[in-house]
Amino acid sequence: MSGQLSRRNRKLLFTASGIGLVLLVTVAVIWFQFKPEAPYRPGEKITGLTSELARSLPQDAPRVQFVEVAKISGIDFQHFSGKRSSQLPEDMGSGAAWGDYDNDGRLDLFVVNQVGPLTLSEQEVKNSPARCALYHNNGDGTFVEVAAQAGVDYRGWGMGAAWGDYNNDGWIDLFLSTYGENVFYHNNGDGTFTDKTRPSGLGGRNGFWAGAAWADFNRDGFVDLYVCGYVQYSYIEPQQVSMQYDVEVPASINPSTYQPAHNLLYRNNGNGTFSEISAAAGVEDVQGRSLSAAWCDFDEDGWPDLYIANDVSDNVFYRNLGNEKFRDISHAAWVADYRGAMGLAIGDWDGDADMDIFITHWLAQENAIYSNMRTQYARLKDAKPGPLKFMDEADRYGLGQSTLDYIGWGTSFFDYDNDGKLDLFAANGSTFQERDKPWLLIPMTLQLFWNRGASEGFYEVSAASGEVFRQKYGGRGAAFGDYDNDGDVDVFVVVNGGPALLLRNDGGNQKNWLKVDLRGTKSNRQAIGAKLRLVAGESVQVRQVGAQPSYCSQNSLIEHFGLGAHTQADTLAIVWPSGTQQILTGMAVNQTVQVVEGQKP
Amino acid sequence: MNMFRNPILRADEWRHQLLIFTAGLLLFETLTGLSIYLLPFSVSNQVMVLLHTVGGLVFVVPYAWYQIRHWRLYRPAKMHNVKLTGYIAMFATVVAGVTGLVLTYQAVFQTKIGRVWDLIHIVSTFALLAALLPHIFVIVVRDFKARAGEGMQPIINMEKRFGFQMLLAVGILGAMVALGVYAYRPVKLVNEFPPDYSHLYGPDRPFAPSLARTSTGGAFDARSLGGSKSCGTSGCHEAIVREWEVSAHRYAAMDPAFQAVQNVMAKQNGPESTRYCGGCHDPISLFSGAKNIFTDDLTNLIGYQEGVSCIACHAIKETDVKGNANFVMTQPRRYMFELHEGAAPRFMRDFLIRAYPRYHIESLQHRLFKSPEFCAACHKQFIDQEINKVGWVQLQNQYDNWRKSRWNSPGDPAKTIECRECHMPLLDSYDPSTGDQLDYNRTASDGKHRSHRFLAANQFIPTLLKLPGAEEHVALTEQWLQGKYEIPEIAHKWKAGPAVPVELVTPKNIAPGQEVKFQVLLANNKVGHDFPTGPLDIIQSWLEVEVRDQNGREVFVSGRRDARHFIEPGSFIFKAEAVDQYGNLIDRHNLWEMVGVRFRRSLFPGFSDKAEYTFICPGDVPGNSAQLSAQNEYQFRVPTDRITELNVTARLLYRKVDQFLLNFLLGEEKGVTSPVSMVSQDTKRIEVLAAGAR
Repeated sequence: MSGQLSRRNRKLLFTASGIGLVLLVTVAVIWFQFKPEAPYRPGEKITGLTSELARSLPQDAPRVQFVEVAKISGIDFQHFSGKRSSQLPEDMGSGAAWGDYDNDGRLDLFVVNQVGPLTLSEQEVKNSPARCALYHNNGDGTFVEVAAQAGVDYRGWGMGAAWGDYNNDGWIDLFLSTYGENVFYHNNGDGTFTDKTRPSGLGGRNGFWAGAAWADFNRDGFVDLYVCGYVQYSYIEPQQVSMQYDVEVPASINPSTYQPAHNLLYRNNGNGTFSEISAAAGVEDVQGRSLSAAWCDFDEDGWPDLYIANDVSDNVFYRNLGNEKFRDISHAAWVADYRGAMGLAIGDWDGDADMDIFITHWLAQENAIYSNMRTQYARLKDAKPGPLKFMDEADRYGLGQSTLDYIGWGTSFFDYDNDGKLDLFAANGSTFQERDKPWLLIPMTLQLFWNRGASEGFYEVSAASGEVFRQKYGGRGAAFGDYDNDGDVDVFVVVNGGPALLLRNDGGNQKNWLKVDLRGTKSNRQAIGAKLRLVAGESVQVRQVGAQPSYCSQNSLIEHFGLGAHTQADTLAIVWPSGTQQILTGMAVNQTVQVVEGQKP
Repeated sequence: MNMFRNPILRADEWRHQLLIFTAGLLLFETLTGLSIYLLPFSVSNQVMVLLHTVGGLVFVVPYAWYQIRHWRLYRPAKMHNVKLTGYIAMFATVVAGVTGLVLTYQAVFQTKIGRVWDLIHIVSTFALLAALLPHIFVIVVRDFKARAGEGMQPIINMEKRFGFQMLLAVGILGAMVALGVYAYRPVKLVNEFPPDYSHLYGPDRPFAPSLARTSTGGAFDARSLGGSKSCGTSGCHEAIVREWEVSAHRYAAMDPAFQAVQNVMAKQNGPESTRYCGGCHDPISLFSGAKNIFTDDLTNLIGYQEGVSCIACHAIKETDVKGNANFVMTQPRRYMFELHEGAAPRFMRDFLIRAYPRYHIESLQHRLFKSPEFCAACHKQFIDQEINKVGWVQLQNQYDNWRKSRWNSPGDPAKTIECRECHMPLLDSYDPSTGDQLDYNRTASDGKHRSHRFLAANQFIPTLLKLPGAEEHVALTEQWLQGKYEIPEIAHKWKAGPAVPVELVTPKNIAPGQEVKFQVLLANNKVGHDFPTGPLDIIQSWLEVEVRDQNGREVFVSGRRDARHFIEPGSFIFKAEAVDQYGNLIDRHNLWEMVGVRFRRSLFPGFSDKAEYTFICPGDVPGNSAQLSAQNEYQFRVPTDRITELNVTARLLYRKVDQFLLNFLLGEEKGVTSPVSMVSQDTKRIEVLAAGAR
């Protein structure tokens, strides 16, 4: 019958189909087995690649948020005016300094600026809108800019700033480091300042000056000043920049190109003048391209030592011998970090009552945390601290690998969640130019590290700490202080070529705190160098006033302690630079204690 | 009655010797084939490969005879299921046989079997099964159903007998496999540490302070990680082995500088400390337990000869971005006869690897190898407390240098150049491993292999060790240093030109007595990481600058070497001067004592640097004028020796090992010095104006 297959043919068709089906399945299975892998893509996650040092956000990370409030607080600060001309000094600034210049009990803020490219004419410099700013704290969370009327609206290539009461008159004075001649402003006590650069002896030297730090290194009751010299920069006409194939970072912004500049130590003569004694004291650091310097009595002998962060050269540790001489023990103390160092944080992160050093580094270099090993290397026979040694433990405590992608600048230890352990912040920003827009530097994200205890170290919690950590900035200086007096520490960040950031700490004060405001009488008025040891229950916290230089910046000198759930501070021991010791007991929490040297609070 | 209906004839067919023999072989071939295809790599599977091959060869003629006879016998029958399945089975068997012969030929006479031939062979086997099983099954079932019919019993009996005979054949051939497995005597690997092995860093960290580990946590017999040369025999990876033989990976342990430093470290810190170096420089000795106390030779023979051997890289299955040899090495099982000596075993081994390459590929090829992180395991170094008692000190780090450079744009192959793209460029090749469809520069049939020369910047050791092909390698290295080595597949993103060019910036003219200031600009244009990189306490790259007048008289020089091969002080130089805790220079590569670096200069990718020079432009050369004038015919002729021009030459030079270290390690009396290569140069002419012209 047409159209219908015979039984035999149906069988044949069935058989052929069956075999065909088996073959089809076979080919399909084989095809599936030979299914080509996806093409390799650069940066893909491949089976077999591990990252044992990587740390994820811990579940119990603090819920503290940093909210960027600069503009709504009245800080409309724009760093740099115009386009960069690819010269090193344009890229290195600037910093900021918290200080109560009018003694109204509220932290004011001086922010350093750079007028613009080095190619500006004198007239253009004078007309540049980018000038240093002084923000007066109104006490309600807002500021008003008063630099011009105060007489500190410097126009130039400012780098760093530090408040220091050089004459102990109770009114803090202002030192400004620059690319050019440094500037010193005497506080008249009436909201205005007088430029005393030359009369004080702090001027007259042209150079590429960076971080400056006050301390009474000879303990004569007057603060002295150390100023970092970066490199011996020579101005390059733009047309001299090499046109070589594909140069991304010209020699003019490569610090290795330039010879290191020496540093300055200004001894305060006690009569309103200073003498530069770096050579005699042995702290010139002629081999170092210095950016930040920290005064801190690391060896607890009563004399503030000096640690200097040098870019592309060994960091230097000068031990203060107490006779206006210093000894370079950088290598002997194992702390001659040779990477590109920018910012410094000084504090006891691991709760062993000695001061450690955190250093922000250049790209593809882990940041360092040099733990002070005095306690660990204590002598067995009498438990006395051993020789001063430091050990970089960044890798094992979460600060190494996590920082390889960043160029770090301003930084400080601060207890942002008031849990009694010192955390870390790093202002990051690249020194690389955008490939398509070489007048711009590449921005980076900021980083916040939460200290989870001495056994574990730090976890980066930026992702959970506010929108500001998702944005990118050319971070440079960072200054830390509780400007709104709410019991938690806020951060101000200077952004190279951009608007500055005021990061208000929201939620840090959910735990208890205590702030200590010291006033020296025998010692220098600001009590710079005073040591504090606070005991609350089992917790012991130590601080040294003014020890943290961040980067080209100065933090508030009011020391802040997080106390967690402790409802009182059991003991606060103060050792003043003069040697005077005071012990306070049973202090209530969540207050600022003012202590005058030798007087009961 | 035709034979299809003749029970006697049919019964005779079932017991025909040719059928029994052919079917038995076919059954064995099928079963061994399935086993080879479906079961994991094993000695028994390899025995089956051999028997499968032999069986296949034996099968050809009897099968052809049988098949023709069978076909002729049943050709007249009408087409029906049995006949159809028979035809299909015949076709599949012929295809399987032919492809089997081709595969055998390829495995014996060529370097690899064809993938398509292999696929057809496998598919035809399944086709054979799909057709032959119903072919027989239908007949047997039909006969069983008709068993009560006249004359059927003998047929059923013969079918049963056939079945038993097939089982017997399987048994016999299975026994042959078992016998083969039993008879094979593999080289016994001794994966044990020496009895006195020092577990200084704890029982679970036998290789510490190196971060390198084995997958078992125990020792690996050195022989299991060596034998690199065997990869290049029989025409398989000959070119690759030839490239590797002269590469830095190969001489990583043999390098006399490494050996000398290792001995110094052992003397100073104990032999166990040298395990730190072993992870990357000498993994074979490390994993076999050679770096032990009371041992004179911290490197064993295989480790010495092969350094980072083929297996040492290809058996790594896990790496960590921490670097410092933080990898896990496996011990791939070897093919039969792979570790045996002699021509016959070599033939057998080569045959097995080529005919049955699956495990060879699976165990030694990994997607991970493309990743820069794989290289990072040994190209990112630090020293920590276990080695130096001082704490973390970062050392060379090509990986993060590259990762944060302009050469890395994650996810974008058009903008990224990874390690292998520069250091393992593609070469035309007959290697069986040519082609890679996963790699973005390549295709599955590109006919190229990645060079295993790992061309970089060592133009010294290959010649010093008189390695085979050293001259060619050094010549290529010099080309590499100068940026003249072309890599077509990345030419669109790695432009031609010098790797680290120098450019002189000089004044156009100058007057005698004036100060001449000129600059040499340098740029890291093409290097994927710092230039120079590696141990900068050893490596030196410096500028040699000469200024000569129009007569070739020297006016100014910098960067020259003295008679003892030392570079003159004050030269512009890329290097590092590491120091120990006492401030002493680390000049013996004693990095375990390093705490800082008092000087360091190198160029990050895309960075430019600048050297500045100053000298006073000379006037007329005193005395020469009169003397030369006197010799001239005409007294009034303009003196020829007035300096009219200055020719400035700047050369960026490079050497692998500084002279002090060489003298320390090898002895100054040997007079060994590291060859100096020119990386780039530039010349400029400065016109010298007549005195008073300005």
